[in-house]
Amino acid sequence: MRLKNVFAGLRSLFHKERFEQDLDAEVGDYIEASTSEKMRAGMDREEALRAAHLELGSVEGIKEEIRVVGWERALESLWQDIRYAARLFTKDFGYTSAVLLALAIGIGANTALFTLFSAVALKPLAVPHPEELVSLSRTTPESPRYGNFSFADYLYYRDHNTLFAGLAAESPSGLRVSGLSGSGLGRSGSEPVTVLFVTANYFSTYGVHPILGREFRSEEDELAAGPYPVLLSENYWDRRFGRDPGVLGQVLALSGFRAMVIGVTPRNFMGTRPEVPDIWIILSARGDLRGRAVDRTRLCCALTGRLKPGAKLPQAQAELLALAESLRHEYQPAEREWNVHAAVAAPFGPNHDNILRIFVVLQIAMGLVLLIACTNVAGLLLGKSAARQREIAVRLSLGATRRRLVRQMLTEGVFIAVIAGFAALLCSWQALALVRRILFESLAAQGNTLALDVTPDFRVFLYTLGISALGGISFALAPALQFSRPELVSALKEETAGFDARRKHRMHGVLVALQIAVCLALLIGAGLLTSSSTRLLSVDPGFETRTVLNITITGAQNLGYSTVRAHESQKQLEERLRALPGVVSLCVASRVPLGGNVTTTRVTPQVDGSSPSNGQQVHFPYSYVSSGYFQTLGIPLLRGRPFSVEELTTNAPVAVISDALAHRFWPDGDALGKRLTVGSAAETHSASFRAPYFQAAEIVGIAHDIYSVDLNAPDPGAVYLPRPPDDWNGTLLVRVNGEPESVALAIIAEFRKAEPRLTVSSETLRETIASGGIAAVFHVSAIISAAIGIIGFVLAAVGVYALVAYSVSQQTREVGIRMALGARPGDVVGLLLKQISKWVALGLLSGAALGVALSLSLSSRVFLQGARILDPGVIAATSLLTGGLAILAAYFPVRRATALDPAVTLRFE
Amino acid sequence: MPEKRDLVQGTLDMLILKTLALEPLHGYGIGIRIGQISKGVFQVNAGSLLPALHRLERAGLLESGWRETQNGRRAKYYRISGAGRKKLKAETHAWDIQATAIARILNTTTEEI
Repeated sequence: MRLKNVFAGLRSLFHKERFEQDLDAEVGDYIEASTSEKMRAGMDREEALRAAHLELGSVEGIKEEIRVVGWERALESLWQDIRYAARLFTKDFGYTSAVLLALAIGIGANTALFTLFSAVALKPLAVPHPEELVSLSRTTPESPRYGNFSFADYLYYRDHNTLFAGLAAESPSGLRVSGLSGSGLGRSGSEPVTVLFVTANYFSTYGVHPILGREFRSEEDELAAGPYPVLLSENYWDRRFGRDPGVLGQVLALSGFRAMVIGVTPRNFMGTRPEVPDIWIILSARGDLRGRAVDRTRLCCALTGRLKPGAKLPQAQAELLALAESLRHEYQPAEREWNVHAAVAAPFGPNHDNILRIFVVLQIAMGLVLLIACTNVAGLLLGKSAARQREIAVRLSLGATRRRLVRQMLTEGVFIAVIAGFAALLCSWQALALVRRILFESLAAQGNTLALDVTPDFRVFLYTLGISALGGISFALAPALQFSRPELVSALKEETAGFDARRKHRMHGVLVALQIAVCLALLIGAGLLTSSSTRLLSVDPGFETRTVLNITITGAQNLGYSTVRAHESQKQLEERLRALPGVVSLCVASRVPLGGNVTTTRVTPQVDGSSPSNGQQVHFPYSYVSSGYFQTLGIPLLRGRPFSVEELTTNAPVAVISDALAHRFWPDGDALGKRLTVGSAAETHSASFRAPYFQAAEIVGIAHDIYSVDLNAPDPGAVYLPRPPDDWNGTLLVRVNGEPESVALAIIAEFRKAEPRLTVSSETLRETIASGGIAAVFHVSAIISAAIGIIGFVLAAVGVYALVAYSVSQQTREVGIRMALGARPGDVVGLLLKQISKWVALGLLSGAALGVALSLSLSSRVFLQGARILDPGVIAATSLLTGGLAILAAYFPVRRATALDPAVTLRFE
Repeated sequence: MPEKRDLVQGTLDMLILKTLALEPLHGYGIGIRIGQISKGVFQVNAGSLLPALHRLERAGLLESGWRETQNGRRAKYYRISGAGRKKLKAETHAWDIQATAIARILNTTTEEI
């Protein structure tokens, strides 16, 4: 559009009177000129004037045609439409609030989800040139996007690559901090903090600089003794130190070692972590990592690199693969298939893809909720438009074009939807802020900082506006098209069936069926997730979960005990714990079944004293267990015996294997007394991490199968080995009698007394299982989908009620006639319900199909593995529920119509 | 509004531009002038003339101003702008090509095929 045109338009818009005057003058002048021309030709003035007008036609028509030349005219009529819509909506408060409520729920749910999505996944990392940052993940054939590398591998990649300006390693941990001056640390004098161990080049790789103090120095990577340098996050500095710059140089006690504050990192900087660490500490503080540059199976670190300017990701990937290839001979056969995958670094690191996936699924569900809400409003609008059919007919007969009327009705729809959208935006913002505050407080109590900005940004605003407008158009379109059909005569006569009654009923039916279908699809999805979730948690894993406490001890490696001392201390502690009331038995295991951590090793059966060469070498999960393991977890030993005390102290070559493994290796014979080769000679031994190796371990016991890897199936085989006496690692498992909570408190108190430098936390195994891995994902999905399902259900209920109520009110006259002719109320109710149930049935059928299709597409997503996709029980139950709801929603208005006196209903109009 | 963009309208714009290229005129005068020059073949009525003038003015092809007429009335006079002259030249050229082509087709005899 030319600038001149814009100005001319604005001029005529703001000087409307002037424009009109000019227009009048111009047309008047035309008539005047025409008249004097005709008078010159010999007519008298009156005759000439009449002729001139006759020639001209409608003066107003011409003026209108001139007015619509400018673009400002469209704006003006839009404004007219909006004012008209505003008048219309303020006139009928009940109707308007119903529409607003339905839309605000639908749009609000979508906006809230999108706000989260935008905050979590769409924001790039808050570092300079985020596109240069690359996350490395170690891949195996089983898990193509796994994570961590060993420190040795990290050093290799760091020192041999040519394309990275920097390659940093990080390893998160939860520690306790004590020795802080000031109060507020609780009775124990310490508090939990989230800690990220990082290499010295971490901050320079991310390109982030401390706001106070200094970064790590490269020589600090080699630091062999404390105090170790740490940086505080600004969040923690703020929370704990009140922004005191004197914190620099202060020495903290961090779960057993000393740390000195050297700097403060910018607020909310969290690298690729999901939360802001409180403390960043140099990785060399991890004594167990330093000096074991050879153990390539000790996976500890996530790697992030910054590409050199000009280097491209594919080149880097190719180089990393070549490096992985040259590392391959360093590995045991089991690890030879490890590889490296490089991807642009994203928030949440390797979980980014899963988060995206979950959001996509949720977005589909939310889209369905919005669809129900729009259908709902379409139903209301249909009723409203029917009431307006006389007005519409008048306007059509006065010469309004159909396009003009449709445009006006669409404007009305978009207008109300945008208002609802604004309300939804405000509500979802406040709701999210509230949730965030609650989360923030509960996380802060656990020593975590959540950096999630849920303030709607420009993107969220556009999104809300977009879906509002789209929703407005979609629900206004059907009534607009239906009622602007220029069937003037019948409408003006205001017959009951002013418009084709059958078509109108069909429209109602379709809307009812649509709502029911979408509602049912949502409920089926929610039902399947919920049933999968409860089914998972109700699986009997083969061991006791409710009365076994899982006690995590951290900081042991920093006590600096000699092997003998550690062993002594451990024994003393165990004795003291055993003496506590409520403790039935206890044991230590290298891994907790279903605790998320799985260690596997190569297991080979020996036949006739030698290992078979037929390649029957398979990897199975193993755990080192102390005496009392099977008793504590309640795993029955089918044959044989547990490890003896002597076997445990001498590290004897014995093993207990699971029933499944016994059957696998010795399908027809007795496994007891046979021998196994566990691990391989080439595995590296080290002080506190031990890859198992037994050339010929005698099978002394066969244990019942349990689920230790995941809840979908029992382990294909498991090996239990005697726990080496000098091993400090491992988890303490305590079988308790009575209230687990109170026994846990007593145990933690005992630890404080004996070894105050250790960090101890406790939960029951059931809690461990419910909060970890797939069970947690299912649980959260089930809660969210249930919430979505309920919203959809309520909206659909209201929608069906409103539609049926309206539809029945249109048939009041028919009902009256039937009743007057002697039909019993029951018959009429039955008749009306029969009409509706046809559509309900259609809705249920298509809803079930939609639900099944959705569930099938869900099941192809990684995070739903293990869901029972087609659960006929769930489908039947949700169909019954939805159908029942629809009939119930229809029953009340139908009942009301038949309860009226026929004499009244016949006079209804 | 595509249904209004037919040949007649295009022609009307061109005729208005040409008339005003000769001398500035007010609305009625333009209609009369077109009638005179075409020897009465084209009678332009106000219903299409006045909107067309406003449209051309909005498009920047015409300029307008209020002036006294010979008989002392105040009237809105239109005059062609620089862009209008360019447009007229282009339109005239295009019209010539079209007209020649149409004439050639209409005058074709069977022998010439």
